Amino acid sequence: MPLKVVHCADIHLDTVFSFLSQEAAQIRREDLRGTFGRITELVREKNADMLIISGDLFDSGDVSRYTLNYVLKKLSDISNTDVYICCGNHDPKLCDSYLNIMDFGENVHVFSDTIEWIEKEEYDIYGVSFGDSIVRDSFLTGFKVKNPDKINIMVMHGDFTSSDYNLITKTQMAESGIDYLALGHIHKHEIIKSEGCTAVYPGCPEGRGFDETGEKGAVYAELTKGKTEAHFIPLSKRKLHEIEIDVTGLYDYDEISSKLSEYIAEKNDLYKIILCGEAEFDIDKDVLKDGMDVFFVKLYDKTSPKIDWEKESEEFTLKGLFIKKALAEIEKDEDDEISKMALKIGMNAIGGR
Amino acid sequence: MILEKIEIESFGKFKDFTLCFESGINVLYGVNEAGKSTICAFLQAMFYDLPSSKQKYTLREDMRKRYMPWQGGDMSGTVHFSHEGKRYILKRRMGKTPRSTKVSLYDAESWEEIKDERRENPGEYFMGVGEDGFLKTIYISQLGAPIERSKNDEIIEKLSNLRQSGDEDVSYQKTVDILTKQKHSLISVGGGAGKIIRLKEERELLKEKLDDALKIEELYKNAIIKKTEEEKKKEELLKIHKDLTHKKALADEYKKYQTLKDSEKRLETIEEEKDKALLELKKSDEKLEATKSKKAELEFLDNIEASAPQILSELDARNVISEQKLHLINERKEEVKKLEEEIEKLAGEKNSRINVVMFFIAVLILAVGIVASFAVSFLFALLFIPAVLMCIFSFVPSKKSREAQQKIASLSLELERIKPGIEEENRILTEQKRNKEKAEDILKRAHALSLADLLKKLSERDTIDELLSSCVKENAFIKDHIARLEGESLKLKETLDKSEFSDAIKNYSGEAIQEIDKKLTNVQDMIVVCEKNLTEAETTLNSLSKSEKSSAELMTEIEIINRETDEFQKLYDATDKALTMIEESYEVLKSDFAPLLSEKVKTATLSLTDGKYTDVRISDDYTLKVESDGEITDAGFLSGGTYDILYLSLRMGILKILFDDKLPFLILDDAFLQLDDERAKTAATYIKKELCGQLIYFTCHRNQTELFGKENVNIINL
Repeated sequence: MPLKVVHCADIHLDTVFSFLSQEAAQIRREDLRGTFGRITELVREKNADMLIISGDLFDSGDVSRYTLNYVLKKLSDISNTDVYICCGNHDPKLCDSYLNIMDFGENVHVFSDTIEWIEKEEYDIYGVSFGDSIVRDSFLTGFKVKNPDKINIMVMHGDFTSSDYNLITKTQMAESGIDYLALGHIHKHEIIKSEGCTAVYPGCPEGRGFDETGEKGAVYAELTKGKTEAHFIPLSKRKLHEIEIDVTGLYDYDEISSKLSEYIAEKNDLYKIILCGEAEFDIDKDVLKDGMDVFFVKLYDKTSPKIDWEKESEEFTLKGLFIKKALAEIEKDEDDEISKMALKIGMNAIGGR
Repeated sequence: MILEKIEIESFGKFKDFTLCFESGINVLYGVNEAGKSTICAFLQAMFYDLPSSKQKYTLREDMRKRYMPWQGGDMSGTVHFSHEGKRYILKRRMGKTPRSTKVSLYDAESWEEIKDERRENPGEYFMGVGEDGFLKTIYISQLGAPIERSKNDEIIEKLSNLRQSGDEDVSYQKTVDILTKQKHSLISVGGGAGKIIRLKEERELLKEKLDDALKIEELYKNAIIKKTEEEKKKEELLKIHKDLTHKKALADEYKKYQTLKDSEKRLETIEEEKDKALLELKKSDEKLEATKSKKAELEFLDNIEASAPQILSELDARNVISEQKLHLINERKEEVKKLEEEIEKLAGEKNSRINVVMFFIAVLILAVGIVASFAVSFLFALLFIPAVLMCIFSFVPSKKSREAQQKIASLSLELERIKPGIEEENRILTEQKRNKEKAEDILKRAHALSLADLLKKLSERDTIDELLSSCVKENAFIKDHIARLEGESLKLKETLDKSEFSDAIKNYSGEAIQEIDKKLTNVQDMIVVCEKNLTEAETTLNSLSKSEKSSAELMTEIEIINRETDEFQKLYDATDKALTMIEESYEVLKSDFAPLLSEKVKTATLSLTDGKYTDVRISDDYTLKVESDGEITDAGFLSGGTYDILYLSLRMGILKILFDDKLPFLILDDAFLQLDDERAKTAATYIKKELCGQLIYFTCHRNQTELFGKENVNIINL
């Protein structure tokens, strides 16, 4: 019987979804909790031997009591399964952090900030928590497992590129004797192999920003000595998408909307839509957004209007003078968003809007 | 635009009144009250409608009330006019409120009704200015009607707008209004807070909530920490308590053990005591026996009468008396004997009457005296006297024998007296003898040697009972003591037999129970405190587990608000920037047209004042400053006539710029009233020269009807 492991990380419960609206943020936070709940359900479904949470279970030290109670409840639901938690850079094991002060149940073990070794009949598990938001020392430096013949698991938060977050190297992996290196920190699912060691980032189970698009979830792994089979299990409630739409040649909202609908497949998802190309008309983002029936849309208008500013600015009229002034301001600073907006607003006002 | 004809059906004092105008100069003459103002008001009302009545208006101000037909009913009329080669008929009916107004516009050729914006705003459409502009430009009243910058300053706007390639729709003021409104909607709306302010307020509120939430979470965290700590502490304390309890049990057992050891010792002591007691008992028994036998010994005394001692003592006393008497008797007997002897002696002595001795002595003395008197001295012869005397006396019969006879007689008497006493005494002596026998009998019976012995024995008998009872008591006491000792011993033996002790007793540290108890109390107290703290922590946890928003949520909300605020702020900044740029652009425009206006006004002024004022400057609010002989004066200080002239020039200047060749018509309402004839003439000439459209000149001065000459002048008398 292989050892059955459910491995997740970077859930970031109680994330501040400031890019969303209040309502959407509230829902997303609930999504995070729900997804954590589904992870524990996965544990039951797979009849897993253990659940590993490789850091950043919480987004910060400030966890709502509601969330805490939810986590407690969900972990007690799987009280027959061993749960191994390490703290990440977001929820470091400080003296007053909940992971340090709360009792999460008999089945739950939260690793301390130095490597701990737990011997079980079928396997040996090691783990270490971030004691601070930055860990410049590499935990794996000089590490070697005690019982190389057993299945050895290591739980930690770490990074293969940044030295601020427990830098891990393939050499360390190869020399450690670890079979399954249960990692967290990188939000994209990834499997890295070095000799007999398999490092797994399950990725975050829910996208938390438009830099975390696509399928998200946890990892289900089956371990036998010398063989690691890790499978990604999609679990996210909603996915995030980033879409770029060229509006050139689209003459009204209808045409833009129908083009958008080609990309928007899931109403419950979150979309970042970037309008580009040349706007055939003055596109009001709110109007466009209003026509879209999806959970959340963030519209970016990067279109360039089809107005011959230069020509208009030559006229000695209020409009002409205004355009000239605005263009002069914009020319001073290409990234001057305010001036660009001012031009648009001013033109609208002159047009009676 | 050219006014052709007005038909007043009903307006103020007019009823079914018709007035025809020529396309050139029309002079309307009428005395005061003739209705010039009413005609002006009618024109204004026809093109711009009348404002609604307002409570605050006086009748004069309230045009709607003022021009209500005197005969009653609605105000109504028709205006015939041509505009850009087309002729129109405008009809309007006005009631008490603007809502009751009915306007119809017809194409005068086809009688087709026009329902577009021309009908909605005929004044603005056909005359090119709003009501305000109309009053400031086309209508020049006698009372100066100074042009003031008002909120809807149409003129300057119009002036600038017209500079924009004729695009009148691009209104500066409107643009500014829109932008200002947009700005205000972000900062404040009609005194209320705008979006940004509201967001900021909301954020402040959230921040307060966040502070609270953080405090609560701190409490929560602390409570959890405390709970965990106290639980740990309690566990430790319970362990200590258990240890102490164990220790105490040990100490208790040891104490019992110690007591037992003491008991054993005690037992030994008891045995010793018991032995001693037994010995004492033996002695006591012996003593008792002795006393008992003694008592038996003395039992014969019971037969002795109680009066025996007294009897004996009495007998004794009597014996003493008897002996005395006996002695006395013997003495008497002696006396009797002596007396009888004396009587005998005395009887002998009666015969010997010489005193031989005396005679002898006397012879001796006589001899001594004869010898001494011859030998020694005659003096010794004196001794012969006593000696002779003595010899005489020695032979004289003695007196003594007489006395002896007397004494014999008394003695014989005495003897006779004593003899019966002696017999009595002998009787007593006999009785005495009996008494003595009796006493001796008593003593014999009492085994006593004497009365003293008897008394001693009697007293012995009396104390023996006491002695006996004390002996019995003592004996009983000793026995009781022994019994008690035996009881105790038995008990101790029983306890000793039953007692078993664990080996743990050997581990007893020797700590005093009191010490352990003290420690136990201490630990118990600490457990109580611990439990109290635990309850407190739990209470805190329970009380806090309510559903206030968490700091995480609040932070999200604040973040979102910050983002929104930033966006709005950006929007605000952009709007503000747009506004500034619009205003700046306008300034550029204005600075461009201002010199033009100045130029026009200057020309007009020069012309109207015959060069008296060389320069005119117009400020933003249309106040004028003039230069005369190098001095600059505020137009307000000038005389009424000059002031009017200046303003007429300004009007004309503005009209020139504003309407160019398109001036609809010009109404002068006794505008030259304050001017002297010459100036009035100059002004009229100037206007006539400059004007290319229709002029309607109202006057109440007949002499002014010909100001514009007679040629091509339509003079209408009201």
